[in-house]
Amino acid sequence: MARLLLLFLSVIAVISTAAIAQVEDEEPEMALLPTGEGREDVFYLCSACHSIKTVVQQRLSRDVWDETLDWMVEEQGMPELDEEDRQQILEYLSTYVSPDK
Amino acid sequence: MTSDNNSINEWNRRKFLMRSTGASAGLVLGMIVPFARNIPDGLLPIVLAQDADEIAGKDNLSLLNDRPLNAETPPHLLDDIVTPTDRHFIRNNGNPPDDVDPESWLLTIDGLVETPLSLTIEELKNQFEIVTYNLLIECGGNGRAFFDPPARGNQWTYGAVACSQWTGVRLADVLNAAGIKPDAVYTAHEGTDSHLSGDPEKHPVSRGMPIDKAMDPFNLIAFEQNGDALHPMNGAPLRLVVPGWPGSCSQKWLNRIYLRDQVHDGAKMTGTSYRVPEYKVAPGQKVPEEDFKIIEAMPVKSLITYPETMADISANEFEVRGQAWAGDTTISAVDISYDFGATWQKTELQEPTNPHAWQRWSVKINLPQKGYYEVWARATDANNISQPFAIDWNPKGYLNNSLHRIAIQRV
Repeated sequence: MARLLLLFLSVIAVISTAAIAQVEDEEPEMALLPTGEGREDVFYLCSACHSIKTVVQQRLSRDVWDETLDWMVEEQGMPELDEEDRQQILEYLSTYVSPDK
Repeated sequence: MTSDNNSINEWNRRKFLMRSTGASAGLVLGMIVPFARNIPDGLLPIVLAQDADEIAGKDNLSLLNDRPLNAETPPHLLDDIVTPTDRHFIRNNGNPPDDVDPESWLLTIDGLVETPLSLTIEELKNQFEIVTYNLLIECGGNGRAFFDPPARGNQWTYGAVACSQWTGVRLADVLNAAGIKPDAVYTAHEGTDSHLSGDPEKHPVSRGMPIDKAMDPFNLIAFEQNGDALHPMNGAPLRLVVPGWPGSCSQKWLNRIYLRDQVHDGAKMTGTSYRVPEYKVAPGQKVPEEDFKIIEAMPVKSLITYPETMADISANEFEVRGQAWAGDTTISAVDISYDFGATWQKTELQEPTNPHAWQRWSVKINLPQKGYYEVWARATDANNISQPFAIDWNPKGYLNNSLHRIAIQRV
């Protein structure tokens, strides 16, 4: 019985460590983005290359965010977004990461 | 946990696998977060909300970003005439190299030279005169945080500036040894940092300068910082130090310099990177890309490094002091005011230890009456140009050399 319990606990420990290693890398950063529609899209798009701190440091108007997304695609290797995704991302950024925040 | 959007998710998954772990959150946090999965949506962990985060070998820098790593020094920690390594700011455009071996490191000098060179650090030390200078490095975007309307980029406040002691060989000597061809007009620099996207074809930063500036005897190919190895985040084991021009000219993790017959067009040289409009613009004005020019010498500027802002002062008389610097020239005066600019007092100004070092200024002021004061500092350079009172706005938030102001309470 004790051996079974020990095995069970060590399996949990291994899974937890792996999960924590994954989670500690992602969740703290997600928390930097205010809740709102498009939050997850912004997180997964942007944090692929750089910290979310890069994003939330800024306070930009919608058209400067628009230029920024262009620059990301043209110079920095970001994939082209389809129009719906792009508008969603712009809507989120210009609402929550703007001079009015 | 995952986004509903499959293509964005896939992009993130691919990049996550490629991501260098060099400057990940783990490096900054340096700890396991046992209850991470319980963190409620929108709750910001206290440790991330702190201004000062732990970076190995650095003393209380303010973290702006951890990927890429960018951290500035609070002004009161820039009080030393020679900035200690643990207080030198960090500006990264990409991810620093993971594995660096100083013994096998090679610097290539090629392009428009008579004889291309490939030198180890040991060979640099043996073949060229070694010199040591205190040299000022300032980020072109220092002060960007105060722009209104805001500009895109790292939101530096005051501390993207330092004056450490650097040891190395003169860039001019190495270029002369290679032999500069007559049609060479510009340098181009490369380092081993990697692009955030993971694309091995892209450099995160590769800038250069006109040959005239390159031949300044105070530009160093440096292998020592304050008499010791370079800090890994400050470019170990080899970097350029080009004082007086934006810090991005001072290539870190330097492995190649080549000469060109045109203005260099590497990463962060083109578009509007390190460029300001050719004419004065209104805050928020849209400027066509062709109307920008490349930034050269940094403008006159100063910092109050003592006392720390928001200090309580209980003595009638106390010292106020700091540093002052100006691109390719020297400082002729620093004046201070503690009545919001109504009256100004001269300060005692020291000579720089060598050209391109900053200069210490200090003064004793007398405040018998209790209350709230601001101390403002204003430097004037040898061309009689002083710091402006307000920001000369430009779209990318560069060159904010407006006055540093601190608050004190006479208690």
